[in-house]
Amino acid sequence: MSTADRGVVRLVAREVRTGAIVLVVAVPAMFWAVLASAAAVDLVGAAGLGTLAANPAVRALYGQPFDLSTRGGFAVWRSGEVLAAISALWGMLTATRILRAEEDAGRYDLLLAGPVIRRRVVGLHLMVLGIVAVLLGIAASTTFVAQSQAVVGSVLVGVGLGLVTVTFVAVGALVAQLFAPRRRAAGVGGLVLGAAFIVRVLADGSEGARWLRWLTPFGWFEELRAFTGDHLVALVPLVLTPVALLVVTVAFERHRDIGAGLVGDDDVQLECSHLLGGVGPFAWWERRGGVLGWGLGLGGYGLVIGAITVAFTDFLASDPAFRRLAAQFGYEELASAGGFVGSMDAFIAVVLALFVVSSVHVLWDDENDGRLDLVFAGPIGRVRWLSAQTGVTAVAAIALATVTGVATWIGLVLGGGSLSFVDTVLAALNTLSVVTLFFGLAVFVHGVHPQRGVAVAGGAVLASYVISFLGPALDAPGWVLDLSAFRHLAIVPAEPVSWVSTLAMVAAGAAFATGGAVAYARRDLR
Amino acid sequence: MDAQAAGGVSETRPSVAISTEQLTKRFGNQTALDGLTLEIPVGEVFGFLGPNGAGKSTTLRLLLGLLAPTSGSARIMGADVRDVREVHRHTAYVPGDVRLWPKLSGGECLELFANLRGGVDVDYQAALVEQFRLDTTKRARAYSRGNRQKVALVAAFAARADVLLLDEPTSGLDPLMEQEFRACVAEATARGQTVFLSSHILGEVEQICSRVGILRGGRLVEVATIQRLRAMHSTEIELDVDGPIPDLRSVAGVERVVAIPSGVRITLNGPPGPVLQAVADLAITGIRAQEESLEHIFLTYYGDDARGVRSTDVDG
Repeated sequence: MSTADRGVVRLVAREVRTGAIVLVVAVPAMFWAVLASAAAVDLVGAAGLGTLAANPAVRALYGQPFDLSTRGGFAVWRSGEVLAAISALWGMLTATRILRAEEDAGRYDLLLAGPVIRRRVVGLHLMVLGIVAVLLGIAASTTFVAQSQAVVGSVLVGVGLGLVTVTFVAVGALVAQLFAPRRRAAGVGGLVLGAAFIVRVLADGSEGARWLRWLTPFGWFEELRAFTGDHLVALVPLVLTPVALLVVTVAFERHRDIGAGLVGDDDVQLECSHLLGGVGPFAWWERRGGVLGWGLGLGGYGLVIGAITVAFTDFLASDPAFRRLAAQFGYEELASAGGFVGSMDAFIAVVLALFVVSSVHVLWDDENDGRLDLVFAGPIGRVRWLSAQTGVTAVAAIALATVTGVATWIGLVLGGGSLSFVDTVLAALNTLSVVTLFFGLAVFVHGVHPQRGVAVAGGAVLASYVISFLGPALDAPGWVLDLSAFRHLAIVPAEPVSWVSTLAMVAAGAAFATGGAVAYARRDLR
Repeated sequence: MDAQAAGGVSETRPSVAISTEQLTKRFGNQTALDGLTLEIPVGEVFGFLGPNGAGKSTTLRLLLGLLAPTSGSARIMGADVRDVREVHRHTAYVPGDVRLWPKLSGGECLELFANLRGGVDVDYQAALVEQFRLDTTKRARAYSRGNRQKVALVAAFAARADVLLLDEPTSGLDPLMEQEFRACVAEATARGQTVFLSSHILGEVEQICSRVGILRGGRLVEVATIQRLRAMHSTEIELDVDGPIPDLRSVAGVERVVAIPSGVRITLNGPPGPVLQAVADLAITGIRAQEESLEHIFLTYYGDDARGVRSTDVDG
């Protein structure tokens, strides 16, 4: 490797360092927590496995349970797909960031003006992400071995996780060649990732279409059957797909201009958008594409949850052993339709919280890029700008919650469920209280320390989620569980709306937001 | 033309457009601007010069309230710059590096800025688009730096604001567009608008600024008219003389006298009258006078030593 190569590698390593460290530590830590908690769980014997594997709803949510008699097998089944999806998302987003956002900003030109040719620059970028994936795999395997699980299975989990990550790094690299700017590339990449996940859900949830699993990296990861047969044939697509994607990426890379995607829309725009008439409409103009994407994802989630409700609740109602198991993972109410929908809606709260955090981030994006200088040089006050941007975000969040509720109800009807329309939509709207809390927090951080906005507010959302998801399984003390805002959501409609915690969270969110607005009006613009 | 009607609704028009009082900005322990005190009357074109990192952009952003001063204060058209709503009715701004929303076309950007301002001189804006030859149908992502700058310039001039704050507004423009820019500034001052211009282009400063301030390391080291700046510096006169030359060193204004093969080189600091009288009776066969170039004058301010002549680290 030449000095110039090393320079590029060091630059990329710096760019991805923080996220990579968090990923390589957090994902194995989650595995570790599930493995540890599995020690406390009554592991499922052969008889139980049959009923569990026969249930389409269980399969759709977690994947096919092949053999749950070992803690390793249990942990991979219970959390493998989710953690693989998180790793894949990181890989896709990071690839589009370092390959596309850097190019959008013009910084890529500086690299390419140097002695390293373009293809090599792309290769070195991807190499760094590949190394992160390898480290992630090693860390995951080590976790399983350290918890005294079978070595072959442990290695397979790590290899599978690393390869799924590399596959979506390659997807990110490919969409970065196809689309500009970054937001568009990442949006398409997100759709691909979402579709891959949904195909796995549908394959597992159906009786006749399990072969669909072989169409998606998440299915291949499942088919590796770590600890439960160690199915090496699934490694073939897991290795070939990223290689194929990278070959295509390199081929495309040669045929495009720097700064543009291969699939470009026209640089000429003859008509004025009618959304430029003021701060409010403009705030919507900035977000409409994103809101549509989040709406599609949430609507799809609602449909699936609604559709599997009956199958899942019937199954739990008939089997007290699994009801206990579910309770140990924080889902005490799963056996009724209302309880199931309410519990699953907690995840909607997480997604909506991430939506508001990303929506507040648009403010920082504009500021950091210097676009707001021109806005604030005119007679627009910062508080007015902030109000319009957050107002549109609030309306969008309410709309997204409603859409999710309606989609869940449609799914319920299709799946033969009996929950009322009002209850289903109310269950989705109930999540808005905790969303308000994180919304306020995001505005507050934007006011006092905007560079850290996403890290602090997004980190708080994820930490809260992890506590609510793993805390009960690890027998965490009550005050730890109480730290998670999501634990303060009532499981509507199985439980009545908890007005005390709703009002408390909304009030805290409003207080945060007010403080943030005051600080924002006073601080230096970047 | 009535600038007041275009500019806003100010009841009693102040005579001072921009004033700062010990304006100071620190970032951490680094002082970006140190006690700037300045007064710029309405209608003036004020040139703001200084090496990179001297604090020019910081000053402009403080005046716009984008940054909050560490201490000191500033007023624009009589209003404290902290009163953003009032002050920004009087101001328009062109940043040094114009950033726009990549997906919006130039025309859409202009529309947006006009709406955010609450209306601009639409006819003038259309004329400016023509004048600067701006293709408003292109999206901002397809614009060069100069074209993005044109968008901001058109928006700023079309606002007919009382005070134009321009941060190196021509650094991306071609010479032809620079000329158009100067014409716009001339028109603006004819309407009574005030222009605060930070620039590196000395020819531009010389042509359009009535006064300049020179900033160095966050401190204002000089405020003067161009003529006075020149007067403060020396002129060299070379005389070709047949025959002996008297001792001129004691003549008023003469700094240095050096013999050259054809005669003498006199370095003069001050009016040339006395020395011309002293040599009036000599047999002079040739005369060449050279003022110290403006560039050289500025370089003396830009260098390591505020009044010294070292000037090696100046960006071109």
